[in-house]
Amino acid sequence: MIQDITKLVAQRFGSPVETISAALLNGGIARSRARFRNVGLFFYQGRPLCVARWYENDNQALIEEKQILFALNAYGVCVPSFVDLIECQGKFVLLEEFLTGSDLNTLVHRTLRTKPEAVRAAQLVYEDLRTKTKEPSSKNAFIEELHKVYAVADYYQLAGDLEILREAGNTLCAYFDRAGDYVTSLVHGDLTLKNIILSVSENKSEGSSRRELVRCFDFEFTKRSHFAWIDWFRLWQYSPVLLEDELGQFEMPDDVKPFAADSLLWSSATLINEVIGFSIKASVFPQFSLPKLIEDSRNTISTLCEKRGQLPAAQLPKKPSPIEGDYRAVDGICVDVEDASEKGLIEALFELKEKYEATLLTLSKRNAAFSSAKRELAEAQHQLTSIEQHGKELSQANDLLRAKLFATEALLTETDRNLRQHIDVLHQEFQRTLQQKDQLLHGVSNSMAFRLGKVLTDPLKKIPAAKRVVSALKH
Amino acid sequence: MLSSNSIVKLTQVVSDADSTNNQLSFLETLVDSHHLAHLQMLAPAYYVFGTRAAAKWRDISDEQMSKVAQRIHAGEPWEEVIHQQTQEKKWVHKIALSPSRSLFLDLLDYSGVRVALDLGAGWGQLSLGLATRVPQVVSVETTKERLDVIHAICAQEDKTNVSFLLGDVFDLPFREGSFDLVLLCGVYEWLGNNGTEDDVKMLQEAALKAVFHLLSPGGKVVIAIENRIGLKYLLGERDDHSKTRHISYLPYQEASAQYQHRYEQSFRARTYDQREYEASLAQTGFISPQFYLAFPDYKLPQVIIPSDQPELLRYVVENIPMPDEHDGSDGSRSFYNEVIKRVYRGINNVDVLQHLAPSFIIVAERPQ
Repeated sequence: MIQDITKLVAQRFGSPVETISAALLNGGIARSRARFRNVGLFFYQGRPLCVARWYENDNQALIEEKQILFALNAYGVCVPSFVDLIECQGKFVLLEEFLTGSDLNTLVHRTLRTKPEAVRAAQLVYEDLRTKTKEPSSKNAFIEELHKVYAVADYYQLAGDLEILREAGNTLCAYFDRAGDYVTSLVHGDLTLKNIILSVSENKSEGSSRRELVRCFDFEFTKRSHFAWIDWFRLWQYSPVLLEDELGQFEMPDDVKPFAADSLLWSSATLINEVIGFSIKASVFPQFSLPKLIEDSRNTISTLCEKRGQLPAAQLPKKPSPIEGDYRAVDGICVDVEDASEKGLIEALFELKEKYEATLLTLSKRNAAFSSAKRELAEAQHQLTSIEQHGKELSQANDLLRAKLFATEALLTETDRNLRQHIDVLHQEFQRTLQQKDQLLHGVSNSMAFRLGKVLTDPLKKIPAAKRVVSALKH
Repeated sequence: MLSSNSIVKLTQVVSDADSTNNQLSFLETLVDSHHLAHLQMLAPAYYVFGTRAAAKWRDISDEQMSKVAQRIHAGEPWEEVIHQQTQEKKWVHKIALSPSRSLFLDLLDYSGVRVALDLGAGWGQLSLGLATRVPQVVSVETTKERLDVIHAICAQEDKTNVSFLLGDVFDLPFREGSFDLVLLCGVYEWLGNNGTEDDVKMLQEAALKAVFHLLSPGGKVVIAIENRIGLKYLLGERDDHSKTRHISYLPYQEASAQYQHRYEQSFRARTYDQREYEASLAQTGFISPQFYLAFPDYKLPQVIIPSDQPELLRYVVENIPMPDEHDGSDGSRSFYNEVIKRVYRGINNVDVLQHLAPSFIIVAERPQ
């Protein structure tokens, strides 16, 4: 790709291809595959010629960037000149002027410029962008843009209570209503010291006087917006050499000053900035890092919501990106290393690092053993729980059985009692029947005897002789 | 009746099977006729060749790799799966997922390249990147599990022009001149780890010879590798492979003896400096070697500069923020990061910096 672009660049500038050389830069380390961006620096006989930018998989993004650069050129803002948009291997390549010089972050880091100097230069760029691209707008358009912010926050559920965000929007709206000043401007979207170049040019017409030119580049996130202040906030949040809590020590741009004087207004602007910052990152970060991004933003927004109006104005939430956080941490280490080196302690530091690594290894082994023990414990606990569960089930079953047994016993007792009663009744009835039978038999017998007697007596009565015989026999 | 979903799935399966068959057939066209009989089919997707013990580097266990492949094959987004599997190992995570890994592919000229060979394809990023740039790519790996993952990723990305072979560089079945481009990214230095006690340099040059023969006349080899006298190593940063300080820049015999004395093991992951690489390439028959300096290294390059452009290098070092250097064995930030950057600037005017870059991307050509 770079070789084909080199040929096209040579053609564009009418130079033999052998005179053109290029360096290839990675245009962002935390990007998704889809938005991975390459930057080529082209040189003609070792002198800067032009810069080329292209995306791995996103021609549309580059066309938008080209249009923005075109517009910025037209407004006369301090940005590189548009050179050309060429097509190479099916990808669009944006060619722009090579801004010679170093970026402000590097200059401050190398102590070639002080922080106040760098911030002043950045402020020039900020004001240049804000004033030269300014266009009148309306309250409706402002509210419409606010609604887009709410929509992002709502979609990703960034704010626990969306009402607080709406209140922030209303606060800003009320402020701009009072000021009667609804305007839009082209907002850079990533205005950090790293994206601002300070070039020094010799002004030959005026003898040996040197002229410093401050210009910004990289317009991937630039768009027309009512929220110009996000550029100023981002400058402090994402320039590695600047610290958020130093913000109050510097003079602010005119449009940000009123915010700094009113903590409610400040926190409202900060909240809106946070959501916009999230959407910028979400547009280029890989999908798999989105959950972490959402979580981080939720935490920051939740803190901002909790402390809305309580935080002193001119403070931003401390939330360096992981890379910048590392950068700062390493800066600290580097200072230590340099001091140590001067004091001849570098070897001691080495030993310390090796000890640290060894401890880390031991800890890691212990951690592994601990994890294994933890796993076993969890397994044992699981089994125990299972046994307990079984025990519970058994106990329940036992209770049930016992209850059934009791019920059965009760039933048996009841049945027994009923049987006994029944037997008693039967017995009584039997006795009664027996008695009745006896009585009956007795009666029958009596009756029979009577009747027999009668039968026997009557004929005998009728036969006195016989009666006598009987009587005689009786005697 | 089949539902429309089932029809889509069925069509997909049929089309996957078709493309697999096409790729297997394509691979067969590259194989030397007397090796054809020795190709073994493994799974439906690739062939296995050779039995030599190759260096089998593993970032994560084979079991984990297999799970990754299964999940990707099942339709989960491959980046998400690898992210979940490797997020605890930040260095592996970056190596496997960062698009920077394949940045250097934009350096190469693909005109006339019909078939490219990615030897030691790792997580497959380069095979994937090549698949969008050249008509056919052959991905070779030494473990089945890695190849499974690369195959799954390519299938998900619909890269039907990638073929797969389980094999190793010392024993490849391909016909002479089969490839127009061969990539050895992070491979050359490990070639001594083949389980033998053979001379490391001899093994490396043997592999280079094998690659030379695989290339078509005019074909190019790309070697991405560390510079043994990179400034960070001179200052005391750990060697990426042996994880040992102050060893890579020593003469090999001395380095080897020290390593043996310290760890009772042979020092077999060997890197070289620019002149030594040039000599090996020339001895093998390669011509026109081009060296690109990769900062902070070839693994995740952020700045790549041709080494024969000293003015360009000077400008970049002076004006562009150079990326942070890291410990190449685990990706942690270099202890000497700030010192390295200062030295780069300090020696910027004496034209030695190109010899002290941390890594090279080397492109050399087989003569016509």
